[in-house]
Amino acid sequence: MLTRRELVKLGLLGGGYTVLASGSGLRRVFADDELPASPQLQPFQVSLPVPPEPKEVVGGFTSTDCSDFTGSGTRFFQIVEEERSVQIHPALPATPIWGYRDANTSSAWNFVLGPTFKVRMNEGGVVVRMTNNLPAHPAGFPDPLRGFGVNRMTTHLHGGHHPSRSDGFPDNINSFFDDNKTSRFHRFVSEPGQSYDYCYPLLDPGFSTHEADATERPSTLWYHDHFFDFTGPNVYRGLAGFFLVFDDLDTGNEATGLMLPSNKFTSQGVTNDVGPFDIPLVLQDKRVDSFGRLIYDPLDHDGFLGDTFLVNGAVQPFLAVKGRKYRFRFLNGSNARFYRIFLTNESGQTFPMIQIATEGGLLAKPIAIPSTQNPSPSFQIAPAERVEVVVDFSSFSKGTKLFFENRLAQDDGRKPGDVLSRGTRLLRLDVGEAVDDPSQVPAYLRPFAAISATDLAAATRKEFKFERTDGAWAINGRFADLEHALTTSAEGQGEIWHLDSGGGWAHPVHIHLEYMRVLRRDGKLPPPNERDGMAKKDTIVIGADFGNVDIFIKFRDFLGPFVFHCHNIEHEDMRMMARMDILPRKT
Amino acid sequence: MNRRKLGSVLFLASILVSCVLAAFVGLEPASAGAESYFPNVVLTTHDNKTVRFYDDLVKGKVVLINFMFTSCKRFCPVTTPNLVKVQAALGDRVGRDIFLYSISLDPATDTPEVLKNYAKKVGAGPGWTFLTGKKETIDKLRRKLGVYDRDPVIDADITQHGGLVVYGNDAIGRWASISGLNKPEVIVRAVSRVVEPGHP
Repeated sequence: MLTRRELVKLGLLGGGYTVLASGSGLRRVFADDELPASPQLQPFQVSLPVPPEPKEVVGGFTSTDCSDFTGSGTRFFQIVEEERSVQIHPALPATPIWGYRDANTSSAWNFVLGPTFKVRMNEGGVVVRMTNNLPAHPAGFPDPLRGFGVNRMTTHLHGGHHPSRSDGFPDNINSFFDDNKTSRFHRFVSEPGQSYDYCYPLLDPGFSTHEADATERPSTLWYHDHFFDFTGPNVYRGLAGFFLVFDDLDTGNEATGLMLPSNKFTSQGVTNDVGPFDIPLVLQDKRVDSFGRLIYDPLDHDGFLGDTFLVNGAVQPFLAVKGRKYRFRFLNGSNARFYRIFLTNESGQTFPMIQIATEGGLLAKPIAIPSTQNPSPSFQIAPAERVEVVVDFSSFSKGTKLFFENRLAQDDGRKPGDVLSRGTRLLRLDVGEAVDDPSQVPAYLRPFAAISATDLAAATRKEFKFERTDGAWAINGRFADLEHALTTSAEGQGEIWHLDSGGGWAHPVHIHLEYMRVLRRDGKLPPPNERDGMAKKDTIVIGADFGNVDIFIKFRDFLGPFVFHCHNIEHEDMRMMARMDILPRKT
Repeated sequence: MNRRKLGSVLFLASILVSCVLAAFVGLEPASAGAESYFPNVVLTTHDNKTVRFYDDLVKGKVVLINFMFTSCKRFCPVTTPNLVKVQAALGDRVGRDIFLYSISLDPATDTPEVLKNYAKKVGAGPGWTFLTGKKETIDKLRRKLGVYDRDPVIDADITQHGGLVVYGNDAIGRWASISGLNKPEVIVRAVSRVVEPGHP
């Protein structure tokens, strides 16, 4: 007999669109062990929320912690971490979430997400003062399923190149990189009522040794909590936001630089807001009860999956678009779910997209979706990955309804399942009138040289195996121990890391501080969207059907303790993480 | 009607009114809480006392829970001595507001007497209880506490489940797990995050 899933795969089951969304209450393989399913929610009831930028603190403030990195041009921001209630769907009461908010504006903040930072490289950087205003106990306590979250904050700007003290190191430590024998307290965590200044110099990697590499610039970063053992519940509860990076190529203006779809246009010396035609989209899956309260299982170590799909903190919203090109910056902000995104219409027909960027910013060249190498008209996005695409709506007539649809099945935290013929429509795109479109997708975006044979030959080699060990998660057989480094790297020394995994589990591996250049996947040339010379990655999937990778990495500019870890956050919280120390270069 | 009966009637009536109110006005119910999250199953202690898992072992307490069996060769030789050191480090709080529970995966062998001898042999102090019970009850509890493997063959192998320590503070509903193979000081520090929220 065919299972429901097989029927769906064959397209034999009617109403297939609700299959992934309705999900089952099953949490684990065992029938006696279920979480209640979320209420059925009508999709496309609200417009896509996009949080605005935070307001700069005029005149700045004194930040002793960031004095090494501040100067003329430095911009200052104040953010609070707080509990607030936000309606994620009109049929639900407001959901108590934990989130970031701009402390420098009195306007109401009806977003799950924190403010959308928009910064420029090499213009003095930014200082963000984060103040922890979280309550002693989360709403819903002491219910273990609803009262999850720990109010001790350490914020990671994911994908950024910045000092150790501003990297969101997961916990306070009593040791330090240059002298592990001396007990010395280093605070990384802000307790309730405390503030912490994060210094983001926004300088090109290599700047400190006059080898600044202008091709190593990110475009879509995100910030989220990183507290040790409790990152899963804290991020799931809402502590996340976008941090977008611009420069003289990727300008945020359709009249300048590469002229990518943007939210500004300059004509005859006058810059106007247009669009928005450049839109960040974070995909998250949650589980809620009929009172709108989030449900999380603190003892699910496989990776927590939701049965309700949110984009930018709203359940399956819609977005009105004009008949022209748009840039969509996808971020997978889910704890454990993988997605495969198709652009579809109401009858399920698929349409092309063009990928322009990933974690390490703009690709060398745009990649058509589909292409000969990737015949599926879709892209996969693993937890913490970013995929930026341009979609041209000019060929669709007004009134057309399109969707970003996830057709990737996933039943548990182990790994994604099959690609189905119908999935969950995450966002509806309502096509309006055709308009003039000055934006472009040029043939080259940010070309850069692959790591040279000389540099590869001079690289140090390391191996890291990501494994399930006795019901917990380990790297090279060791659980995260923040007081001791698993590995040390000398500044400026190129390294080739072999990342591997045993067993049938997928692990999206994230390395802090620098981008990975992906050299090989399973010993072969990797696909273009991750291959060195085309793309730079800060998160790379290994394990299950994905295989192993060899990556090149070189740590520059900032010394001290950092971490790398699995970004299936439940794996990370079960200590599939390691401290790595960057030491002074060898002389 | 005596005073006590009247009290019960009034109490029941107030519950009824609350439910009706909640149903009509959509009032948010108090969280179902840990009572419904943890199976309140019956277990037997190494002192041959019958206890209920939630009511007697967890309610209002900070607890560390692991699964083991006395003839276990794979993990227990590491986790048990680690927990002995954890117990020592937590000091006189163990038995007062922090409790350790080791639940046997081999209840047919691990009778209360066997467990009592084992506790003595490994040096488990007051506040650390070894438990046995029906095999199916213990399996249900084990899975509920996240100590399982998705591969049914591995899941059925009791030697696979001795590695994890589940810890939590029922008063605030904060729960997590850590491998018992970690160094004792690492386990103590992890547990301290649920014992004294807000302080390292």
